[in-house]
Amino acid sequence: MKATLVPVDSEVLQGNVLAVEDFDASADFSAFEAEYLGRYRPVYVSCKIPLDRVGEVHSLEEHGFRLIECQIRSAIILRATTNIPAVPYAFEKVTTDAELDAVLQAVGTAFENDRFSVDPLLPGDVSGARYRSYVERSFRSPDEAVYRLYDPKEGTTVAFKTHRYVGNAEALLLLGGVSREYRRLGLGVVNTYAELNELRRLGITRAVTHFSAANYQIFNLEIGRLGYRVLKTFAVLRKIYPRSLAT
Amino acid sequence: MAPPLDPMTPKEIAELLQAWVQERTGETVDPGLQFAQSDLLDSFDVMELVVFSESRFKLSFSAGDFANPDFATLAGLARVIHSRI
Repeated sequence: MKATLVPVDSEVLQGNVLAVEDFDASADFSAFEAEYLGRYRPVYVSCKIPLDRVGEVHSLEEHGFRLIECQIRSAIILRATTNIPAVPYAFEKVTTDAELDAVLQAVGTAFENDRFSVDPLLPGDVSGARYRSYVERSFRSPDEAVYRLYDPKEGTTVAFKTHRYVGNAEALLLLGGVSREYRRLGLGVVNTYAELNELRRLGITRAVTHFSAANYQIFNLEIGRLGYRVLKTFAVLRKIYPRSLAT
Repeated sequence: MAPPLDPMTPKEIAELLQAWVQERTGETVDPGLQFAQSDLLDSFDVMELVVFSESRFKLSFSAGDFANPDFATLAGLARVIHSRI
């Protein structure tokens, strides 16, 4: 069992954010918690437990952690390129800071179901700032990429995707979304197909992703329509500590 | 020479789109309801509705059409289509 600092989330919440990994219900969690409190003085700690380990979920609940998300890990084998309906938008890799700025504006309105958006104990503007930081990080990372769906005539960005190349012809799909004013017009489908086609063009044969079970749109699209296969489901729990305890 | 057919009215276009949705979902959709508020239509359905509309009325929607708030309801989509045929 270990507690790892999450730099982007820490910056956004303006206090240390930790992720507990390899949770062990048989270990002395109180002692473990006291150790990470003394070392990091966190404001927010999360832990992801496979949903079939309900006893571990209950154990964390006894220590003040609360369920904040049911997360699904799924994968798709990229066998063939999909014909995308003709739309007046282009899907291209973001290569300049100006293009990134346009994507970051879209990011701010794209998320509603993530564990930071739905958390009643967090300020409402945290999620957008968090995802902007992650997208910017993807843009600067050599093994990650940011793509956008945009109107080539006006330059308007309507949707985006980010992913990481993890080797063995596999990619981890990180973030994606459609600007609020273009939502549920079919552009999320185009955005998703375009990303998978691009990955296939680059030689990727398998893509893995995570999404919230509360995101019915993505649930229906990826599992119901595109044939993603569920690999594992998780309960994500979090505990928020008073800032008086934090650094 | 045969006279040209009367163009469809926005109401008739909306009824045609409604029929497409009903055939697909088995349910009737309020033509004024935004797609985003409907539990019947997901993004995939709307994409196919767009493709059906372009094919049926032989037109291509522009980025301006997608940005038009009218585009987000059956009645509004019918008005957009009517303005283009």
